Amino acid sequence: MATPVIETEGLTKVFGRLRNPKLAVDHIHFRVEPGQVYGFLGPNGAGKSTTIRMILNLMYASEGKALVFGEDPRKKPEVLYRVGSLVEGATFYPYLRGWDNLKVVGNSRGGFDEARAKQLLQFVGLVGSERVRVKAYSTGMKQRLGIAAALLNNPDLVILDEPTNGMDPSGIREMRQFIRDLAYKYGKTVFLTSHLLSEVQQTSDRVAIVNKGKIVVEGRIDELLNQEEELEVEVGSLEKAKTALQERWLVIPSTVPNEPNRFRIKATRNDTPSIVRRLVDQNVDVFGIAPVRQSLEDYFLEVTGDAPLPLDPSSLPVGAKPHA
Amino acid sequence: MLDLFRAEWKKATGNRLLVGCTVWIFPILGCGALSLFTIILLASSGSRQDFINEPPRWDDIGVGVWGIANFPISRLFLISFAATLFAGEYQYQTLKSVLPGNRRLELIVTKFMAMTAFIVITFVATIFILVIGFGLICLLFGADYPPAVTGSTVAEFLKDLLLNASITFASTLIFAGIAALVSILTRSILFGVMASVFLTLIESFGLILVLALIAAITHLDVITDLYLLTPTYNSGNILQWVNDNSAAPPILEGRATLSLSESVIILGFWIISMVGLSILAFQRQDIQ
Repeated sequence: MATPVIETEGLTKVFGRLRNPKLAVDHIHFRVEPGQVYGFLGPNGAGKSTTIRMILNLMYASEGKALVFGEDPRKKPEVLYRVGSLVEGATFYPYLRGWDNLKVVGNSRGGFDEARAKQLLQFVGLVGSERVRVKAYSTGMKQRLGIAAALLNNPDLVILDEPTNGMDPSGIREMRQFIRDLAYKYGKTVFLTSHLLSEVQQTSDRVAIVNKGKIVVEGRIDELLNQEEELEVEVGSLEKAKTALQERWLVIPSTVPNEPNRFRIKATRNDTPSIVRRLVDQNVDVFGIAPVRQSLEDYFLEVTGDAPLPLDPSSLPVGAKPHA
Repeated sequence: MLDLFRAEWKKATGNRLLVGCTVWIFPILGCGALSLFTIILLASSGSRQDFINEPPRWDDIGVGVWGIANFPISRLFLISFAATLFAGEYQYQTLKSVLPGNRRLELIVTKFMAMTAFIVITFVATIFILVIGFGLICLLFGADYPPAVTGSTVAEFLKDLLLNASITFASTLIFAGIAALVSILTRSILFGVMASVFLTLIESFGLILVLALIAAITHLDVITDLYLLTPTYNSGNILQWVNDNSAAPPILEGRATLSLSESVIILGFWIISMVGLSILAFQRQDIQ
């Protein structure tokens, strides 16, 4: 079995030990395997960035540890030369030019490779802007330079904390492709946090959802979202449809005011022919029927919402593991 | 370590406004002083005659430059430079990019080294400017430029230069340590510079008044002597011992003075404490 790229064991962070101690990260365990795109999600203040900072040896764990490529960065910080990171937005020396900032980062991380830096500038679309001082850069440009800086030392693990912050829609789409390329074309492991859950859903293999310092749920995205399916149906008459179907399926009328003849039904995709047949037999006009799958966003809101968290394993979706 | 030094050097030299106002100001002022002096000599025949009769000594000029760096007002510029170098990393939130992969000790030691190298190079440049500049002025007005350059005068000059440079370097390191510590704790350039400058001013000018006041109130004269423990007094005392083989005169008449070795020990203690404390604070700190 390959050494995990990241492995945390009871990782805990308490701020302000003396007065009003605040538990920011509470004994979290997770593993990121080589080549994975791992989404690390949670609302603001959930402990995501603190966890990343402990992995990068920027903050010290109050308890437990985070291993990177099987090594403890506190004892062997050089292991972090294999990690490229962009944490909570790209930050640079504003008085230096983009190019000089890359030089500083490169030299701080084992040596500056000019050819690679030029390649990366091309890759992030900043050729021509590298001679401009960073204080004149837009947020999106800084973010692109941050990506270039994170990849300077050709890392095996790339940690991206909100990488699409400040990017326009086309930049976000490029970033999505870029994250996929990193993993599937270049074989990098990507550890990703983002508020754009649709992006995470489209790019990640596995996710952990953190809330109040704890991992609430962790698993493969397809397993987490592969729950009891629903179908959305649009008909000519809701009442007639209900009569025809409710004997066998649970019918949930739409709550959208302008869609009186649209409803959801708890059924799988394989039930579609029988549902249509039954409706047609009962003279109900069918305008459309399509499977509805829960999005990561819905799932995220469900597990991080104000409602009690699903701590009972039987209440969790298939494939999800509860975390203590 | 060399790569880290390169990175620190780039950070320091790249901030032209900072280095221009706090470090390059010394060679710039040196050039200004030379120009002003030349204008005065050109304008006033009396001054010109005095200059020819009593020409400056190139070795005194060279060694004297280190005294400028040790002067409390000059020190404020260097402290501002040091505080900005350290606090800048917090204000610009750049430690998260440069710290992973490095040992914190290496990083902060490299920062001290780069800062020191920068200051030393600047003052060596100032020495060259002033020594060569005064040589040209002497040549222009037909004055001598003693002492004659021989093996022994150069050797003596280099010895004095190194001694004075070491003392200035030691005292600068203490105040850079204070600036680093304050910057690491306040994490802001403005607060770092303000607090460091305030502490330096108190140490250089205000402390003796406070101690004298407390001594007067408590009728315990010995309290005034606590001034003998300050970096300013001890660096000045060591310079006095090195240059004149006598202790620096006490601030208040009749009070005690310290020997060369006592001052060396106290200065050494300050260096280790201030640099050590800043390293310790940085080692233990969570980077936000």
